[in-house]
Amino acid sequence: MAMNKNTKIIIAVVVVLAIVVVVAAVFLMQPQDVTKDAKEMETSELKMYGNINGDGFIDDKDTKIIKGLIDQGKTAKDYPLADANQDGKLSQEDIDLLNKVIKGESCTIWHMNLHDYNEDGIMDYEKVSTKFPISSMICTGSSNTFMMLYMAGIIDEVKGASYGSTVDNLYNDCYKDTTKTVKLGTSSTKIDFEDGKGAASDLIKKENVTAVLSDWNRTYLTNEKDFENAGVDVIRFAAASTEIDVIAHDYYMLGLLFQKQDRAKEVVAYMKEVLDKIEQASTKENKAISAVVSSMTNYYSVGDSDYTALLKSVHGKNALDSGNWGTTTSIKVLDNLDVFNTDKYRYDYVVHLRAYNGYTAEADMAKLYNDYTKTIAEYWEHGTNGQYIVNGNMPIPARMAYVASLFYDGVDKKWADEIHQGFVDKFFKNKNFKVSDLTFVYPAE
Amino acid sequence: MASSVEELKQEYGRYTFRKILFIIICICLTVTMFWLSLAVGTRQLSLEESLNLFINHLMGNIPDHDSNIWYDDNIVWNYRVPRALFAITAGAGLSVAGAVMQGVMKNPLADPYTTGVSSGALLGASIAIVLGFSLGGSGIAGAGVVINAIVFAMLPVVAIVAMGPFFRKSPASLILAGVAVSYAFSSLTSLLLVTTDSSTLATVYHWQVGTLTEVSWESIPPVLAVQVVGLAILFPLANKINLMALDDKDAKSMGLDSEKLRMVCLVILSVMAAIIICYVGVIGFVGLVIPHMVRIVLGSDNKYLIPASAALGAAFLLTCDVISRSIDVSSSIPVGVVTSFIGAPIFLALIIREKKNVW
Repeated sequence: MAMNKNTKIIIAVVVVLAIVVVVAAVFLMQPQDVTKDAKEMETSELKMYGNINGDGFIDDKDTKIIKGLIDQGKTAKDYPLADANQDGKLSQEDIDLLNKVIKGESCTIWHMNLHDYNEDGIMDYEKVSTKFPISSMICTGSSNTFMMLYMAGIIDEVKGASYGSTVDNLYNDCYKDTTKTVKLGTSSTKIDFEDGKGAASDLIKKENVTAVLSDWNRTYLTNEKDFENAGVDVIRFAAASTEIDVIAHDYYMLGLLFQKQDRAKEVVAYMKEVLDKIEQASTKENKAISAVVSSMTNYYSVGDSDYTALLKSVHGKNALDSGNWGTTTSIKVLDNLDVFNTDKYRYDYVVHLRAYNGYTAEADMAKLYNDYTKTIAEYWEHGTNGQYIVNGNMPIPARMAYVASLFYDGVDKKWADEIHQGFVDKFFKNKNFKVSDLTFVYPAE
Repeated sequence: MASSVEELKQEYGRYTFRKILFIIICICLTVTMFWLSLAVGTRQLSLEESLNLFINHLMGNIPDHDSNIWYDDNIVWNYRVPRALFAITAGAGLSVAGAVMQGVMKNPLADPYTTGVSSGALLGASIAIVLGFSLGGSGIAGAGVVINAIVFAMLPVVAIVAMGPFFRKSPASLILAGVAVSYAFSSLTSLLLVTTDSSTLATVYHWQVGTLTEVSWESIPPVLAVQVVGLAILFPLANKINLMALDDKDAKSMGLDSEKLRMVCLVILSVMAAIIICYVGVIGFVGLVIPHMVRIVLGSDNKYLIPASAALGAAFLLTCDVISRSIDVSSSIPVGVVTSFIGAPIFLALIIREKKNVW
């Protein structure tokens, strides 16, 4: 009998503990309202508090406008973007802060991170503060992130990075040189803060690292709280974005934080020029393009991912958009053989976006075909005809140009090469590649 | 006569002293390893620095955010201390659970996971990691894994208790029921894993072998509370568990309902193991082998076996964690790998050297 009583006590303790754990976890993980002012920021090229005129820079124009607002007795509620120091009121202190930023003096700025912070698969604006300026940082090193930093001229400031084996040898003399940039693991999405010998905490202290840079996607830097708790700011960008307003924010923000505004201005200007060209080429022929895109072996991208966005950026229609795939952004084709059912989904192209050596070494194409296209060819109505492997190690607009050249008759590889060459000539440090001598798109035939 | 009583007393004193000495040595080893664990990790700190940081923080001298030592204090206090405390708690809990499970099941191969809690927890964690579905709601990342793991870990125990009236609750039946439930859960987990990608598989694998990487202060209270409650219930039952070495009928003649006690112990031990698993995954070897090691040295008296297993288990898991963090690879090796790698040869050596039969 006594035993039965004990049993009841134990069960009660377990149930109470389980409830406490569940309630505490749900309570602690409730997202805060970090997207406040997101709407006002939407049209800003530099999504930073104090950038009241919405251009890509903090300058005298902003301070003059804010001074005017203060003189008129306006409040932070009326003009939330003018409240540079986020103290809830408009005052001389906001102007003083912006003057510090203009002079490049140490201070803390408030801006938007691009981050899927609520894990719904959609990029949000997340209000964060960052110590300004940044002279020492670490990053998660996806191909897109490295390319963005490289073009922004941010090289010596990268003290550590985590990256896998597919990072281009283009970075052999900078990010991949471990005497300059310490390798912090083999994942392109994750950096451990304090764990074994290869985590980041020692480097952070020794190199006085003040920021860690990562991507907007929820799978990147899931342990960001470790860094924030240690006083290291987490800054997130959308390095693979095809939208000019997002690209502009990426580069203007990097330019500001790392004091490379002139370079940022140059990159954004060229990006705008190139995106206009691609837009014109994509809309000129009024051609209906139905395609799918693959970013992992035997997976198709679905929903709102950087990959489906690239397809749409050149006015291609993702053939799988009509399917119900839930919140996932990639589906395994062998588990979803319906994607080959021509009554449901018809498409003329399968674009494989892959990171492999592009600028400095030829890829093993036999292996690529075998790994990426073979299985799909067995099921798809067109076999290998219409499957293309596009290199992921290049600036995003160049990637867009090559994909457009697959879809439209009016533009070809030469046209895409020219656009690509423009990036190399303008923004690749001491590199003299002739991109037309290299291959960035392979048909799977 | 008086002299033989005196000799007997002295002999008993020596017998007790050896056992208590063993426990004290294990506790001293744990304390030493705790100190060492404060200095080992990514951030390079000396033994002296890390001890000063720990003691100062403990005494309430928490450095200002702007001070030079704040960063190191954060690493010692918020990463290394909870990790070490968790290793101590989990090591003690798993070892005691193993010792008692082997006692009540009368089986040297029984361990804390005999009822299938590990396969249940693994299925729950896999559902959260692979499918993104959590009983705690979507989008709560790590907490989702923990909640799924604890709920699913308890399912096999509930199943066995619920099925109790339908089969004899003999040790063999209970072990077989646990094996059956484990296989059922494992097959479902395998089904999930064959359809997932390599990076998700790697995440599940880390969880499957047990790692202390994700431990934080938030993990300590529930785990510590359950282990303390479990140990507080089990210690007083040591004499009764000793009686369970007898045949169930003989035990009954001495006033012990073996079946009932076995079921109660089984639930307690499963809860103790489940709460550990849900935070750090399945740390194998500790619960199986540490009690055997203690038995070889001290014998099978549960009055000493239980506390000695707790002390040795704590020291062992903490030592393994320190080793896992000391090896110069990109991140720490999962502690479950180290426990098996270090523990297996030690255990084999003990078995080979052991002359007396403790089972």
